[in-house]
Amino acid sequence: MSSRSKSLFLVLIAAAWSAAAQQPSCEGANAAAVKVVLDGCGGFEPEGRFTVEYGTEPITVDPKTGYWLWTAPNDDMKFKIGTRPLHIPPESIPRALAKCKTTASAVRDGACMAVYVVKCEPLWFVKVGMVPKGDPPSLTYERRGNARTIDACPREDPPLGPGQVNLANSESLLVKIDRPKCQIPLGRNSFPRGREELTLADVPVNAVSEGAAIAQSTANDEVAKKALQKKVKEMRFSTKE
Amino acid sequence: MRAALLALVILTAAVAAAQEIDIFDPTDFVDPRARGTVFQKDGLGVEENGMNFALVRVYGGRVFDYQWRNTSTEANPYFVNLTSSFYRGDRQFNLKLTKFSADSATSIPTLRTTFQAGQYFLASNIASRVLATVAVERNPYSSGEIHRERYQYEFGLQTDVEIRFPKPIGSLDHIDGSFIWMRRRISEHTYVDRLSYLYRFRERQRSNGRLQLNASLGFGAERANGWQCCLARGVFTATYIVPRIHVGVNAAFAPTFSPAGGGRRSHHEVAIYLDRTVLSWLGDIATK
Repeated sequence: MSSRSKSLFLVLIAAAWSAAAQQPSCEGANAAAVKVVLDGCGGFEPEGRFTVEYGTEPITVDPKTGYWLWTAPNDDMKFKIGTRPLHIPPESIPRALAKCKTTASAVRDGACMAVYVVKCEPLWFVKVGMVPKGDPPSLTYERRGNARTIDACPREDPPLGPGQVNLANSESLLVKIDRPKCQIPLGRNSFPRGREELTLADVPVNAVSEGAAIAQSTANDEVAKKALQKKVKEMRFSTKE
Repeated sequence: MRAALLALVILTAAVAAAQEIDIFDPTDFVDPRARGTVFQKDGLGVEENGMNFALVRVYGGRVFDYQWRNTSTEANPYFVNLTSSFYRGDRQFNLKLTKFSADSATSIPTLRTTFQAGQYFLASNIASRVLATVAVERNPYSSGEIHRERYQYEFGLQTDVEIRFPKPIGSLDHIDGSFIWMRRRISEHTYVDRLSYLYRFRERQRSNGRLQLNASLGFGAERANGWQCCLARGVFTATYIVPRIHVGVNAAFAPTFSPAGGGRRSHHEVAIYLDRTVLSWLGDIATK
């Protein structure tokens, strides 16, 4: 490197360091703005103010202004970006599943502005209805996510028996039946375009036979489906709301 | 240590003819308890029969480089396979009809009829099965100048069992699959024995059960003038169940490795076929 290049390099480093030093810091301030950005909520538009928990402190965010002004409740409490994760209670966004805890990003929106980009997924709903013939089989549900599913806080458990289950966009549902021991997997693509309701004839029924030398076979599934059809007059799976 | 050796013997040395079962042949094992059968305490025999069950399925498509038993035929036949099964208590009966349609220059049987009778039992609360098979095939070599019998037959036994190993083997604490022995009559006083083990991997499902991925590994040996070891074969099948019409679209790939003998040692069998259940009937609770 020539001496001229070296000088230019040093000048650039000095300029960058100087610019960083001039960036106003919020460390130790006792007032700051909290901005919440909802990302991927599928057109979710909050109708009014909604509550978030800033650390353990509940605060109300006005979606019109898009931020909330935090003021330290006492002189000892100072603002420090990144120390307080944001949590949105599930009931605040009824039609989306939000990430459980989000940490603030850097202060690029301005001094003392903690920006929380909360990732969320739109929810969809499956309503399971059943008309049994006699002693009804018990129904339980399991939500099954994948790598794309939002890391959400513990949610309300699905109902026991017929009812409605909410699912994130990337989740599928396993309807578990005790007698006969089988399960019905349902996902968004289980409902072909234009169909919002399925019957037992339309869905796959997988026999659960862990205590068998050959666990899976189409024949086993056929038995399970037939046995289930003998127990119920009707079983419907609906995404209609 | 003994268990580890046993596992090694089963999975590798247990010699191996290629897989007994055709690339398109479905598994028909049904845990009798799923039909309401109640076994006796010792696992042999039943206290209650549960519900009778009948199942008829049809499979049709094409196989490329078809492996007929342990032989590579290099034929690309079309086939139709009709399988019917009847289950009652701890027993099962199968009748299978298989029709092949191939170039006349190839030497594969054009027609096969298979009858099977199965007996289920419980071993350590695991449903297991012994299946006896008798199959009659039209002899593909019967039209030559040398006089040969028009039909050939074979018979054998298959056991579907789960084997549990002690803990030190870790993930191999159980293996499930089938041990198969078949004897084929070639001519008077001449028989060929085939011995194989077929290990089935657990099914994987995608697209909410519409896409089913199955794999199995077979190992075996054949005895004609002496034991010939060791053929190995894997079968990888992807099945997509078309909604509404409930037709399965299947694609299967079965590489086979046969180190003994001359000629090509590896073969790559491929099958494309459709399947459909044409009858599925579950009776009422039957009394013994």
